[in-house]
Amino acid sequence: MSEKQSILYIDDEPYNLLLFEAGFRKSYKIITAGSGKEGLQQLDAHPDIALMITDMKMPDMSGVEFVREARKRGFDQTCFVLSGFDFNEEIEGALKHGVIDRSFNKPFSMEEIKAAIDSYLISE
Amino acid sequence: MIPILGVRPVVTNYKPSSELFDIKHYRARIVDSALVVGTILGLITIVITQLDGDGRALVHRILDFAGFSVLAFVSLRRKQLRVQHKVSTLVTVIFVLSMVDIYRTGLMSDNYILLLLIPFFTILGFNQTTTVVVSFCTVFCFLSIGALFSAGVLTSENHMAANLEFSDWVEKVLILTIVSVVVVLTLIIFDQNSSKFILELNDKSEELQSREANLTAITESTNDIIGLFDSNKKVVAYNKAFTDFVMTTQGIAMYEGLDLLKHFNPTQVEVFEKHMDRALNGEKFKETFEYSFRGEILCFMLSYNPVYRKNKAIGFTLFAEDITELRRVQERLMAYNTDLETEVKERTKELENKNQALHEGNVRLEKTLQELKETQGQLLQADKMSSLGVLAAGVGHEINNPLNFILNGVKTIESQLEDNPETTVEELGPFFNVIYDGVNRASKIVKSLSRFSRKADDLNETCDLHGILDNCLTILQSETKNKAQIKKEFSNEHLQIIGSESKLHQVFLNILFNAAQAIQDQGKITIQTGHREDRIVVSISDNGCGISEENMKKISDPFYTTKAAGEGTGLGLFITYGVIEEHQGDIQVTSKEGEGTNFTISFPA
Repeated sequence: MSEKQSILYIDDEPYNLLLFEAGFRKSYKIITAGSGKEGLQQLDAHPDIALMITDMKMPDMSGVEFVREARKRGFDQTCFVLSGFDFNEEIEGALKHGVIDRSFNKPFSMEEIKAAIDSYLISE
Repeated sequence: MIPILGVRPVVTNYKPSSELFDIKHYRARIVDSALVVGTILGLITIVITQLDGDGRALVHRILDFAGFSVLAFVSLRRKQLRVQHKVSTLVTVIFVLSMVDIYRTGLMSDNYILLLLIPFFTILGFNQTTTVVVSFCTVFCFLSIGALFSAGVLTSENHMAANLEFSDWVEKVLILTIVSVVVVLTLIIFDQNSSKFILELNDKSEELQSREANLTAITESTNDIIGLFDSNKKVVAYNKAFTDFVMTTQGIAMYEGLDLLKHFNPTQVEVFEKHMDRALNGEKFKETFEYSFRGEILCFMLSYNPVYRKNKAIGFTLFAEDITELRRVQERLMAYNTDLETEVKERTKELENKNQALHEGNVRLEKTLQELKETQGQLLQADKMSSLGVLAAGVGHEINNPLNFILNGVKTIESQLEDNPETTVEELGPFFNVIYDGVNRASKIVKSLSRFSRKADDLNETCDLHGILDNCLTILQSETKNKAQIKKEFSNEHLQIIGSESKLHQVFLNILFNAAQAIQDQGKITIQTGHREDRIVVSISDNGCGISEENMKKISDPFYTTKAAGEGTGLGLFITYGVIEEHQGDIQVTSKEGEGTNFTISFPA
């Protein structure tokens, strides 16, 4: 593991992007996007993205919709969804159908997410 | 008017009868009496002279008889003859008989004294002039005979000497004249006084009769029974009504002195006796009296009035008025009155019952109203809870972001300091900002929620409409931010109304939530505020799906909803309408399906 793996984080809250980047930049190469649309652009721009974490609630599209769109475009890496909700049908359905791999609730624990990222990245 | 006791008012057809008191009648009667007495005396004289056989010449006897016969004739026919004729006859007979006797016997005649009767009778039948003329004629004849005697032409058969002196004749004449004048003057004076007296009497009598007639007219013109009783309770006077009554009821004719009490039954007598005793004791009073007659009860008002003479009650009058009809009317009136009272009582009772029922109804209504208010309160609360339930997820999401800022902000600072304890505050600045922002956002949401969910129902708070609208937008942020553009066109002034802040939150939250839900994909919610005339107006428009005409009618019905279960209770607009009404506000909804909806709410400023 000479080079840090790239992780795409999408959230409409700039502060969340700031915090995520600050928390994980030591371990990973963090690529951020403020919306689904921007996220898709980043995906195109960085084909090396190994994992993607998206906020669920965004103005243009939901996190799950974004993942579906990414998958449509051939992205088959691990996808996590962050959500303010305890329970959300859309997320449950996406998990069930393997569209996404895991979901986390806000406020998220950086350790928990790091452990999950690590476990998925190692297993690959 | 009390009639004088003892005067019986029986004259119904008044007719003056002044001839009854004419002086002429007395004169005629004197003449008639004189005729009768003269005739009788004449008869006696003739009989005596016949028996006596005084030896007078036959011619004198025949003369005497003739005089007597004339007297007798006139005397017998005195009723048919006029007084003047009778007087003339009488005077002529006296004159002739006296003169013949004087002529025969001179001053020795006893009959010359009869000459006194000539002026006496003449004045009874004729006037004073005639009397004087007749008297002079008589004196002239007497003196002529005297002259003849004194001249010796005539001679007396028995006492010649006594007739010789003419002065003796004159003396006789003087005596006779004096006596005559005295008698005639007395008669004239008496006559005049009598005439005057009789005239006065007539006047009085007429006046009395007139008064009596008036009195009678009064007493007879009334249907009331009027009677006058003496101290022995016997009838003294009465009117026709009294007579008729007694005749009809008792079958007896009234008369003066009738003891009516004998004809009534003992019970009635007892009553009347008492009444009469009271009246005779000087009491003036009225009593009612019921009299049963032919199966009918007649009712009388008896009025007793004592009659006084010299301060002593010597009788009483009784006025009896038939008040049967009056009594009947009175009874009918009383019955009517009683009926009326009963009816009034019944009506009052009915009214009271109705009042009671109304009161009970009122109490029930009040209770129902109270229950309704409680229910409304419960509904309000239910809606609030439901809204909170629906909003919870969104709000939770919204609150989790700032919490994330705080949690991970702290964590980041921690790890940075762990990595490099020399890290400066400036380097950590952005993370502190993140934490501050998180705290501010979270507290803002919590505040908004608390203002909305506060259970203060009083309508006396000063409510800032702009603040309320902002709070609602905060709470609804998660609902709106991804799909609706919020366009706030707030007026520059402070828009404040008096009411319940919690309830007004609910109102605007409901409307804004509906607006957000109406937007399926992307849309715009426009909020305008301002004054319009004297009202504060809030207009909330969306360009969402709109409401169909059919659903428009039902939007304020409770439990009506087009939302899926769990998204809405159908209470929202029902509650909203109620709260706006409570704030004296008004709500207008216009919508076009597929184009959007506008809610315009106005409150009194």
